[in-house]
Amino acid sequence: MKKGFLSIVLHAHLPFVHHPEQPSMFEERWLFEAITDCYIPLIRMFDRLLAAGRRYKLVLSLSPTLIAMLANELLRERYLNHIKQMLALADKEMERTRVHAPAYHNLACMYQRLLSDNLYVYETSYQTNLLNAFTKHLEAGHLELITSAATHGFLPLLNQHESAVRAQVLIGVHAFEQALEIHPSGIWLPECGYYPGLERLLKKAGLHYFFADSHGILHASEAPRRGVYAPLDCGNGVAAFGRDPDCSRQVWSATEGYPGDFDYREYYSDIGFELDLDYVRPHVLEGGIRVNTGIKYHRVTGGDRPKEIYDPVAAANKAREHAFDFLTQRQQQIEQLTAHMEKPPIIVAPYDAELFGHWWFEGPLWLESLIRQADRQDNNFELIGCTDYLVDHAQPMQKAAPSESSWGEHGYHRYWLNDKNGWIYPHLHQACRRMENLADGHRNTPSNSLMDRALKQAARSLLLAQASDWPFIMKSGTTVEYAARRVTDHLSRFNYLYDSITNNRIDDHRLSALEVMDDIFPDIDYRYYCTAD
Amino acid sequence: MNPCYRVPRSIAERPASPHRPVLSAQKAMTRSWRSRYSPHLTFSPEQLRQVSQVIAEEFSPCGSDAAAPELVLMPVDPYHLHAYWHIDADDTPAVWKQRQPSGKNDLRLRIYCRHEAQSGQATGEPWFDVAVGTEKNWCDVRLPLDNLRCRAALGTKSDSRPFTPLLFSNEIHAPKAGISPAPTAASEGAKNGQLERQAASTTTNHCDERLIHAIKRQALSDQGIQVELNPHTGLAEDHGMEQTLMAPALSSHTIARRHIE
Repeated sequence: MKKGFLSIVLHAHLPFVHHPEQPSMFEERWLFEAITDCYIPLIRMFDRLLAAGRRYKLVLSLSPTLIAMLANELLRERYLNHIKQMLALADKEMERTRVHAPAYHNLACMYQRLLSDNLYVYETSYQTNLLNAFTKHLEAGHLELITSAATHGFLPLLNQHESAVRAQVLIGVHAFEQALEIHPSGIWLPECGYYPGLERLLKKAGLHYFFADSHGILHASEAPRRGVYAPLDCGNGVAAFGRDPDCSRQVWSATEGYPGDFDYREYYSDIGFELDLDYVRPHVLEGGIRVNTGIKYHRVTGGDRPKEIYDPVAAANKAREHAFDFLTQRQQQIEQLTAHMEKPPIIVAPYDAELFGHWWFEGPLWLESLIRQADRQDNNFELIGCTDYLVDHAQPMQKAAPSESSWGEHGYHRYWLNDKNGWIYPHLHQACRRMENLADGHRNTPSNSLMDRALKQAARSLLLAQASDWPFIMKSGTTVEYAARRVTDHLSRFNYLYDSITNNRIDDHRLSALEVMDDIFPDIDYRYYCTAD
Repeated sequence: MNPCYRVPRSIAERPASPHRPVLSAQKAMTRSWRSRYSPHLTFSPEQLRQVSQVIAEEFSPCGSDAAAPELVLMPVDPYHLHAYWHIDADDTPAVWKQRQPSGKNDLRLRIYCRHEAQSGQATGEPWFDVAVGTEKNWCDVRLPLDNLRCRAALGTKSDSRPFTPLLFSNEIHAPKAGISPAPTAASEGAKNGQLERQAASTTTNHCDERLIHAIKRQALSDQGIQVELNPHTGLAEDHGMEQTLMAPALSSHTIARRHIE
């Protein structure tokens, strides 16, 4: 029996970016980069650990929009094209560096191998559908898969209308069930955004737990006796796990975080920006607009010195050192906690999955090293899934309501509600009110009728406008124009459908075009917006 | 919070590469798309773009004037709330119209608040007014304490007229900013499936006093924002207003509006 538990939670999410009306979109690269840099490396890590017979469990939340994109025919086709383009650049780099830049040649060969292997994993091992990989490791008992809100809406700010939150949660659960053929036990609340009372909707959706940021637990209606090291029962049996601040700091901190180590690969050094434009032109955007290609030759280095050449062996050694450091600190934490707790503590370490491999190139290696080092007889903790902990170790839980909170800047809602993005909320709230009217007025509409299709598409448009990603981008200042256009486009489509439905003038041609463009949640139930049962 | 478009703090220290959101048209796409629901209909990318463009132009939310009059509060953090409102230009109360010729901006947001620990409706609630301009239809309001339940009325007030509400808001709860007292044995024993809320009427006076003091402190310290207190005990003296706000029909999700002619 271990003294305590560590639950590593990876939250994988990207907003729904699907543009059949365009030959390609810059923003599609978010998905493509995440597949290449993060999801495939993580899957390859899971495969290696499975082959090695390692004992562990991780929690992986897959947002419904990411699930939809990973399964989407157009995006799978475009990703294949993208990775083949990357491979062509890597081949070209091997030739160039062999003659003109021998110091970089080994790295060029590394990228060529890496991309070839990634292509094999994507195309051959998993038939271009990475959901198959996650399901495989779920069935092997090493992953606990959970869902998120349908389009990652920031629920505390949608709560003006309960139906908006209800639809986000229930459609999120339903979409997850449809894609993965299991019912999720837990949910990743978008941005860890929680408000008291949300647990009632989670319970109705058959969910058993969620995560809150540390202060959400510490500021609960009653002081938590075990701090963030045991879940709270929100009062209706739904459990709230709290994020451990130490685990966060070690990875996230700008000053102390592992990813900033000088030996690690420098994200911002990329040949897309460093080599002659004519050379990289076929691999950047139309008009010669430079973008990251994924081929990066330098390490962080530190200070104001010129960037030094990346050394993969030194970086791998550093990742192992950092994994050992993380492991040791968790062991010490467990020792200290068990001295004061009558039940084995759980340390919850949630991270965005895209940190691993994309922003932090060595992240998957760090994680793999941590898992291997943790799987030792003399280790005092076990890597566990939250459901297993709830069933085997958590009962009875202390009853207390977490406080309203998020994991955003300063811990609340300011990042998603400020002078840059506040303008979207009157429109979102109004659209939700109109959606309620539509649902109430058409609850008995026959399935598959034109009216039924229009109602479903209206719900899709509203959901897509509600993604937390758009206000986040508006605040952060990158690709603002795209985020604003996505909100206004989806709201325009909603307004059009509202007008069509209320006037009973539904145009099959236009409706079908919208169904093609916003092709998500095929079995959506718009009746979640009804205001009375 | 760092999907591919979000830079984590541990990376953000280093200079960012230029990053531009542009369309890439590497090749003209000849593929056509078929609706899964109306398979007889097919679309070229150009046709899809046309539908998207027409709808975006004709049904833009930004050009819409169909919003109903409303005043909405949203929590931001323990010490701030966000308010937005919409006043229907064609259906403005007479008192609002009468105010316009003077040119004097006396539109106010009256914030009523009570501490979360107070159960139900108190006999009266401390309030404070925030002057809001007519140039924008939203404002952020600083709260005197955390863990408050707040609602608001948007109205006009002048030297000769009492506060005249035009719109009433929903009720929100601003989050708590600190750690709760440790549970007692009694509260532990009392729980049975439902959360026990700290209560109650015995703490009302204490909370009111603390809240009133906090509002007064805020009024003294706030620069650049006009805060006006209830001149009496901190309880609303405008009894007509009080009754309106207390009306049972005003649930937290009801947007109510009164026309005062």
